[in-house]
Amino acid sequence: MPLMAIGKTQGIGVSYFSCYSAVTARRKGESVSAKASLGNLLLAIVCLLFSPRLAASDEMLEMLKEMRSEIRALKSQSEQANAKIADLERQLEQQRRQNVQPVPTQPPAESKQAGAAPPPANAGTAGSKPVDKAAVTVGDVKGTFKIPGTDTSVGLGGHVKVDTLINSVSAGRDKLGDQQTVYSQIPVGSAAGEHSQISFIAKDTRLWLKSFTPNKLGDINTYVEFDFYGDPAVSTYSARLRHGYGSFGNLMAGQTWTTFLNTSAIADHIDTGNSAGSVFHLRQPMIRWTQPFTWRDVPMELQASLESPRTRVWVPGSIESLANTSTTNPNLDNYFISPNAERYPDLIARLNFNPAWGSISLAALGRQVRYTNAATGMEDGAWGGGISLAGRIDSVDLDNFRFMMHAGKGASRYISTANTFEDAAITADGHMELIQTYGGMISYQHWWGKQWRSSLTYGYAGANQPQWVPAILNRQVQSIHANLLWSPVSQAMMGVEYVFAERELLNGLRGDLYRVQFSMRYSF
Amino acid sequence: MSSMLKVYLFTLSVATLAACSSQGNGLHDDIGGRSETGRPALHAIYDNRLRELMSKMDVLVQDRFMTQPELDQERRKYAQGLADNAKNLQQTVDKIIGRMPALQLSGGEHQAFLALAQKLSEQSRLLQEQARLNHIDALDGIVRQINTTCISCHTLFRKLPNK
Repeated sequence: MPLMAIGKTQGIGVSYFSCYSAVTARRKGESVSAKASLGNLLLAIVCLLFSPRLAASDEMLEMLKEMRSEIRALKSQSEQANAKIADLERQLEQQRRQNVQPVPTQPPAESKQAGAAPPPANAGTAGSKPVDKAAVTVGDVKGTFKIPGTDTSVGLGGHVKVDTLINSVSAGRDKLGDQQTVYSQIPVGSAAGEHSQISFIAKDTRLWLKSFTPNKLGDINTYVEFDFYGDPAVSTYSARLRHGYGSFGNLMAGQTWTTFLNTSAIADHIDTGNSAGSVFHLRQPMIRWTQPFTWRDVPMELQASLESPRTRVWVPGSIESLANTSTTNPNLDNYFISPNAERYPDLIARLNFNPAWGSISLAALGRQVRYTNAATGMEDGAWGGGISLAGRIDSVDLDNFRFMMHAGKGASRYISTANTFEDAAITADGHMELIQTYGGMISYQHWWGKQWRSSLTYGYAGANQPQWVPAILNRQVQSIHANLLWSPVSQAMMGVEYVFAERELLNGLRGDLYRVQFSMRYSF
Repeated sequence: MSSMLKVYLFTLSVATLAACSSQGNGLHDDIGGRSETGRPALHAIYDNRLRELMSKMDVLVQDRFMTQPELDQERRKYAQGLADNAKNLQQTVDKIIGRMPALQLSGGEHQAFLALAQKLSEQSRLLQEQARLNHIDALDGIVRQINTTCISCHTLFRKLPNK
């Protein structure tokens, strides 16, 4: 500093140096208090007034210039500090209001850089601050977190479920009917399986992954869910896709519950097979549009979907033989053929009525049932369909009624459980006749308290079978389910359930199944 | 009677006895003597509706059939209902504050009543905001705070009918 050199040789210069040093002593520091700077400024002024030979010196002009710039720097620093204080006050107020989400500590200008790639290794120079990484914040829907730098919220969860089933009679070796109620596998007659059979399974364990991305054109959701029912053998656990779909606004595509099924009407039972009169718990690939609207201030929805077709027909042995089947043994559960000859998707429409007291839906199904036989050149098809009225009606407190009623022709695939009835039967001359089915179920759920609940359900399904089909096919099935479930905490459930299930053949023979099932489920 | 049925009935009886005797059956607890005070006031109706909606939202976690996005939609629907009811509650409480002169309270009582009413109004406003922002996890805590404020006010100012 030039003044220092002058001040060293002359006493007056020392005083200059002192004055100057006092003013600039902390000049290089970041945090100079306004008060201390003002004191230095006053001292400098005093020095100027009482030091000789200052009035006309170039050094004084130099000092004045430096003081001026010092004052400007202090002003700027003060403004920045005030802006910082105001920003912190805003963040504190926001934090108080939210009371949940962590408040980002970075100023807005820096937060845009948080999600970017980390700076190169040589970017940091002496005195520069490292770039802070963005904190992971709570997502926009429950149980999710936001991927840093994006608007996408991601969640992972599932549950572990263990079931112990004590069956009055076994459905047979490695049959699904010992792990959940499969009405077509209820043993009938003297050839029925092992009595008092017990099964332990954890196949209803599930894992799901979901994402949510808000968008002004329509929110984007994705969802994938697996369980381990991929193989019917009791001790074999194969992952199976339950749901795998995405939606963009009102348009959904992928695999999920059939539109024909109102999931809010499903009875709350730990038996995965559920009631005999229920619409089948069918998940299949589809494309679906959901249009919400209101009618007299009641939220409603109209859904329309194209879903994966699959025909199931009984074919006489004279036309096509099926391995491991019979016309006299009712316990093989292998009587129908899926020819994979459909030309059109299943068409389903559903109207949902969602008042405050529950949910009511009316669904209609139209589908082509088609059979072809390349060997014989036989080919026939028919259009069938069905309707379903289902819903859930709240009663007192959390109690509710749930019901389903359905009827159709050529719609058996959507009724009861798999293979209970066929969609159509083929005559000896190759003519297709659609099978008429009907059924329903009624359930009442009662909450004893916030932790205990019970459901009691009766279900029935029947078919008008033609007289020329084998007498071992099913005429009707029915069931009663009753349970008591306990959830001491929201993530745990333990329960016991009693099941009575029966199927009656066309020849009048009946098979009964009595089951006690214990379940424990832990969610995460 | 088959052995299967006997096992089930025994298990069911033991479990039912446990269910009926368990504490914390929050749905039927008589909280704060509200049921003993005659006809419920409008703000009490809205408060009851808030707790009803929260209970319905709480039990969604037990559903095993709806997909997670469907459950999120249901929660959003209940959150919207909570926001609407919270708004009604706040408006009702503001009317109560407006009618305070008619209550002819003493100085200290006036201050206490006003403080509780303003607290309830602020909590309702906060519930509206959190519900509209779909901050599901924050809602239960605020509803409980509202319930506590209601009990406090009733304890201090509600007169019970002579039995």
